[in-house]
Amino acid sequence: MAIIETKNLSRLYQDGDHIIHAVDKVNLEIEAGEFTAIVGPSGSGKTTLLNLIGGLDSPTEGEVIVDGKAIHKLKDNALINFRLQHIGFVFQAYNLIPVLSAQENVEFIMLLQNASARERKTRAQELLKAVGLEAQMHKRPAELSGGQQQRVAVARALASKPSFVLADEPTANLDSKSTEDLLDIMHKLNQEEGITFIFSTHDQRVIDRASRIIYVEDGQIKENH
Amino acid sequence: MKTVFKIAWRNIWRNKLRSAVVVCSIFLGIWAGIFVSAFSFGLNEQRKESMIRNQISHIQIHNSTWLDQKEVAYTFSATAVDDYLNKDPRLKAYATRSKASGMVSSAHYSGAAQIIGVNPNAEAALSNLEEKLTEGEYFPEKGRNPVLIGRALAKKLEAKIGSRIILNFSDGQGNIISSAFKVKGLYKDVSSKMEELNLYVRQSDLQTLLGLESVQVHEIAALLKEDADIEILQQELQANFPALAIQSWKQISPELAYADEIMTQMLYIIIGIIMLALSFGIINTMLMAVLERRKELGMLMCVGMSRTKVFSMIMVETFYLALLGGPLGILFAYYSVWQGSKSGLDLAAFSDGLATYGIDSVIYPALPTSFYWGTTLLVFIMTLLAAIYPARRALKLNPVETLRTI
Amino acid sequence: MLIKIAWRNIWRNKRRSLITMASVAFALFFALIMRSMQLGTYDQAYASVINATTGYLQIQAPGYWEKQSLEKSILQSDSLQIKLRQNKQLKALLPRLESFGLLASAESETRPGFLRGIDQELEFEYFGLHEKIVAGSFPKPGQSAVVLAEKLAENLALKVGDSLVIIGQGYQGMSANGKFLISGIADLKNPKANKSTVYLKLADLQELTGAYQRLSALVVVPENKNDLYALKQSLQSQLDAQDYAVLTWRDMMPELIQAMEADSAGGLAMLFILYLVIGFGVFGTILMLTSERMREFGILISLGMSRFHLAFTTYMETTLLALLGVLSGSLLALPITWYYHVNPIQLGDGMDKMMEDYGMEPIIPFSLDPSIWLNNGGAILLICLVLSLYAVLIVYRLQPVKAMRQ
Repeated sequence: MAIIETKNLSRLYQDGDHIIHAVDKVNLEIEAGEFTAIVGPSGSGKTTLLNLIGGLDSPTEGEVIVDGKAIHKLKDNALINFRLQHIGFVFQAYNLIPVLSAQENVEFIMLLQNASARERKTRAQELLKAVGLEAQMHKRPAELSGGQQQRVAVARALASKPSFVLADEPTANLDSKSTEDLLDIMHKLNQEEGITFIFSTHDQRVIDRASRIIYVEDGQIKENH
Repeated sequence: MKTVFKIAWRNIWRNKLRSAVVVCSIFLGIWAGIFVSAFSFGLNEQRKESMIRNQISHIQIHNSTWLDQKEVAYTFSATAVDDYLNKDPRLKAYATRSKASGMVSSAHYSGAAQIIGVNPNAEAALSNLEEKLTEGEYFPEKGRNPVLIGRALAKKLEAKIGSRIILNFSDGQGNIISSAFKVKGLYKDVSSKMEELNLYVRQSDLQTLLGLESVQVHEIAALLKEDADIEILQQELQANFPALAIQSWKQISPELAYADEIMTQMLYIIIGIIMLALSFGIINTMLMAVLERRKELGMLMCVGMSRTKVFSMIMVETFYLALLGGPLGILFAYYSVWQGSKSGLDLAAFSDGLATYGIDSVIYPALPTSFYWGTTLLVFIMTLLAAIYPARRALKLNPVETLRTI
Repeated sequence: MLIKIAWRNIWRNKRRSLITMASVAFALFFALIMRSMQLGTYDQAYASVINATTGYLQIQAPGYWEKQSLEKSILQSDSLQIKLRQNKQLKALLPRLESFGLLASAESETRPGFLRGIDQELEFEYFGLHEKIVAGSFPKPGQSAVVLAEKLAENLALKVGDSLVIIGQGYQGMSANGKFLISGIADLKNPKANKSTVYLKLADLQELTGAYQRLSALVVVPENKNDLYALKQSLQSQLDAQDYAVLTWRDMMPELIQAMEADSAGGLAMLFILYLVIGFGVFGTILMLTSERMREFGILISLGMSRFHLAFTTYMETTLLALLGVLSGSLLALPITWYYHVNPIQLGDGMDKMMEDYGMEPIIPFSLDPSIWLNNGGAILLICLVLSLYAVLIVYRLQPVKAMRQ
């Protein structure tokens, strides 16, 4: 059963007299448990596609169905709430709330879901342990390295028990060692816990690890398994 | 929701100096504003009290025609009113008076005079006349035609205790009475103009000269224990004595009443203007705080923080800033006013000017408690209004911006 | 060139700049309206009282003002007047004799009155006295008559053509009794004066009181009413201090000024607080401005821009901001102050009686004195100029490498 399905998805922009087809009649299905990379040059539309799947942008035409729900029809707070419950995000930067500690950042998501204090604490500690940051639980983002911050971001993304995690260029700001560590953890989570990861990336190292690669060019997709 | 408070609190300390500047300005602005208000209020209260205690009392009763034309012919009989007021528990003191306006002269000077015939004991109780005495005796038992004059007048007349001065006034029947009086005492009033104008003689002496019966008086003035009773008593008296003119201090001195009424308004206007000025700083600071966090705020809305929560967070941050400075400012001000009210502030430089208002140069700041509550409310409301703009700005941020990679 | 950069920098953060400018404009606007109102009132009050009573400067016998007695009068001397008229700052000399008396009429009781003997021609010319006539006229040459103030005439129930009896004390103990025809009634505008003044020809009053060739004072009309002290000093140098005293209206009526100045001080206190608050706000803006550009500053210095140029540009930026705020505040205040200058606010509700009790017309004209704009605009600008030095401090203390790491 596909957790993500797009039908005839299009996103058009007006640029002066021009119309840009950022995403052009895309039909896509992503199953649970995938470790998929969406790849393409700048301006190919991969970021737009990711935005549409993640419910951060609304399509000009077509449908986006996540977990059986037509999210293109949702608005504002309903959409925000849907993202909270179903999707985890890891961005290239600015993932964390600077005034909260690592543990508090992870707990924060669960708080938005109204989880109990005990539940939040237990799960946050578990998740941080899973990404190898038990010792750094009480540190604020400013006190962590880039790689460590991204790992906290992963823990945070998983805190809400999402259907899948969207990662937009998560390794772009990291050195090779940190990249390897991060990918190891994400891969491990994917293999052992069955968590679905969808990447948008330039990074060859990510592409190498991906089990499925979707190429995007001029708003259209080409697949190469 | 508690987390919103926690995050908001930590957020304002991200830029300590900037937050400190805003908090400081609110603290100082509120403190200073309240203190200045307390000063104005205290000044007004002193003026009111001084006038009522020393000059006009709470209620004055006259023959209705006398109000228009202050001539000695227009008297009224005191008996009925006296019976009514006698032993009324609401009254602190009351006294009857006879009044004539004319001239006072000595070999060295002559000038206009207001001659007031009083009952020594009653008058002392009502307007503190005995306490104002600086030299001499207060209406001794014996002696013909004693008069009490102000120090300033004594100086002009070149008169001292024992001197003889001449009083000229009309007897109400077309004759001018010229009578010699002996200066038995000098009194001091805050206003030197009053000292020059008012002379006090025995009511019986004045009435004799005017050919009036002892019950025929020009004025009865009364001081009450409770402010609340003033209007009630006034209405009662008017109902019982429809022919007489019954006035409260508000009618006798409308400017005093007016100053009283607008005082509270003035105080709130002062604080309001200060708060308005503070709002500029608050809005600017919070706007900055929102705009420099645009990526972070975008991220929050991406991962699932509802617009309402983001809006609330900014509002709470603004409130924290205001609430750090505001209530502290109010508390400090309360303390300062309390301290000031014990020792008072000496405005010696303005003592003459203040004297024309009838006040001593030492001012005691004071404020009604309700004003502190009112100010707190005002600070709260203005903060709310100032917070709305930056908070709405935060909502306008587009989450998608966050994903825009460099 | 640097100024151009500074100007464009202001608009990099349009919203913040506008809010800061608005805050300065607001403070100045409020300050101008308030001071214009206050100072306009004082000017008007002063002028009103001064013209109705003492005039701007008087030459008297030493000790006359405290006593106001005929005994302390000066001799009417032509040689003295000629000598004084040589003083260039002196426009005119008006002789006056003043005294008290009781006034009687057939219709009413006696009242005290203030008798003023004048040189009619001079008073018409320099005080516009003839314009104040509302009934009848001033006595013609050769006619011995009096002019009554409006309210006084009303109280005495007298009209033009009736007779007034004056009973007063004369010079050196002589009695001063006389009966005069009332040739006119005048509205003196000043309510206190309106209740008591009687104008007589100088010679008539001198005869009535027996004070032949004597004057209470020589009223001096100055060329420049704003430079009275200079005139006072130059007159004093011409006169022997044993025989003559020179007093300005401030010397004669200090309580008038003090009352106004107490009020003015209150207003200034308020302004002080307002400027303080706005100052904090401006400082906050400067803080934000410098901290967000640390990186840029570091780069510029590294590239070779001199600290002086950078500091200058940044200083100019905040200065221009303040200047714009001051200009807009000033301009905004103009229409309102101009309107109320030409159409003064009419008072009512008890405020009018209060003004009248102090001897003033119950109106509030606004002042358009440019010094108000200069003083207040200048004050705020100065504050901002000082605060802007913080930016200069930052530029001179920054270390480029550290700054670029931000």
